[in-house]
Amino acid sequence: MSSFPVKELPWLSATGPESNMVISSRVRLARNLKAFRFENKLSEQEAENLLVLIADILKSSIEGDYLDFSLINPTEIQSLLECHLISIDFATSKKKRGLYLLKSGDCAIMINEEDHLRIQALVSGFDFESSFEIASSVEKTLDSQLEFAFDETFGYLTSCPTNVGTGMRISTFLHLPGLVLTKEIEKVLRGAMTIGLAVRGIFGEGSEIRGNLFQISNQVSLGSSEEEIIETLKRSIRQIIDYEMKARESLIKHAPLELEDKIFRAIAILKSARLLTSTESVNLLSAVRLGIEMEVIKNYSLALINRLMILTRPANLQLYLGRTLTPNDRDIERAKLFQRMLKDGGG
Amino acid sequence: MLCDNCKKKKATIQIKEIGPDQKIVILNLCDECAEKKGILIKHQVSPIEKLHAILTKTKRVDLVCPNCGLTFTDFKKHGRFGCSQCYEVFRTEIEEIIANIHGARSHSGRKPGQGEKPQNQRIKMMRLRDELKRALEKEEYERAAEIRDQIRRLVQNE
Repeated sequence: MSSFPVKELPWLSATGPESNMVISSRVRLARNLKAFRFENKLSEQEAENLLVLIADILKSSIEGDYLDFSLINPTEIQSLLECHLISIDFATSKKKRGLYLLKSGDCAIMINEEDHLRIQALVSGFDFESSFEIASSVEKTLDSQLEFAFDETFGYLTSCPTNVGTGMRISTFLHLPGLVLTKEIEKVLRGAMTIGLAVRGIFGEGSEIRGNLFQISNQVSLGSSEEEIIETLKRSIRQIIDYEMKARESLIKHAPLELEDKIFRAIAILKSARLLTSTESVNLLSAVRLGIEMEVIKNYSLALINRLMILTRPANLQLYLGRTLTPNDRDIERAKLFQRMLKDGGG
Repeated sequence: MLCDNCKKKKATIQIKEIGPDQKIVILNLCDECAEKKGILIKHQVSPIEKLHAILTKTKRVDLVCPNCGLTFTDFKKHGRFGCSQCYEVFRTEIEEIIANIHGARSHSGRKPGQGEKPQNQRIKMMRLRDELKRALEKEEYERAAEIRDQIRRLVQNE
């Protein structure tokens, strides 16, 4: 399929506000149709009907591509996961399911996830307003055609009671190397957790942190309006950004040489290593990213680093090169790709 | 006198048991240990306790959603509902649970748009066609004919 790996992902463009710390902002709306039972009680025939129904509406009203998951291969599914367009549950589900990807690349609609519809918009930088507007507009299109399950008290009804109300979950993808290097990260993240936010590392398994990347999201969806949920999370994120800024200032002030050394060593390894694992490259990319964000290095763009971060993930790498690779071959090819892309400032 | 069992609290009840060797054993127990041993302590039951008892009793009778067949026990086990009607069927049971999760009891965000939903007809048609298929598979021809009539009427109304 020619659309793999997904080429233009706006959330990787580094054009949004505060892109030097906030990689992306996501808004996800969960919706169910009143006329269909929820995912765990849905028959195969009903699941199929639902897919056809939703895909038809979307195809006729919004420009985009429909991907039927029974027709795409496991590497392609893995690639969508690596591009952050689908959830792990959706990638591993055995149900009949499909994804509608808007041509603009900033919104993906999962059909038959835990809820019938998971509309998610993902934009560059610290910009929940834009991602909410995008998701909201897709939701409105569907709302004009379909009857959603809704209750005056409980709001939008979802398969899991943790999502009722607005059905909205919002998250940011933050790069916090300053707080990690100054060892303040635990304190800050614990603080976020005590005020009811969910925090997790992006690429690591469980609690392991890779690439100093964190995802912070709201956990409560009932009782506040969509705008209030956004405002509340924004305030907390703003505070974390301020802490990160202070940590970076302190690093420049107290250990400028060590910091530069870390950044330039990372570039050197990425440009000349012959074997690079996914974990190692994500960690090195974090140092290069920090160098760009702090204007220590100027010949690479954040957009290039973002793109490399996603492109060098296992499934994307294989699809990009157009062949299946063993893990060892992947490390060789990944190293080659970095050499090529980082030569003379990328391109 | 202290409780023979926990040896901490004051014994409030004396019971006589026949031990394994047929001899009578006297036990002095506190309220809590007596209850743990399954011995009922009789006292005046207040109205609120009665109410509570009624509620716990009703909960023991498992509620079932008529639309999807999910029982309340299923819900408690997996934490997932089977359809939107479950919220109605289990409303009283889940109000507290939801309030606990969200720290709020009611929705204050956006609402679905009012008015006719053009796809309702199509959904109805999809469902009838599935029913027709099932009826034919089961060789229930009379039922199949009924469904076919319904489909015809729906097409005419479009």
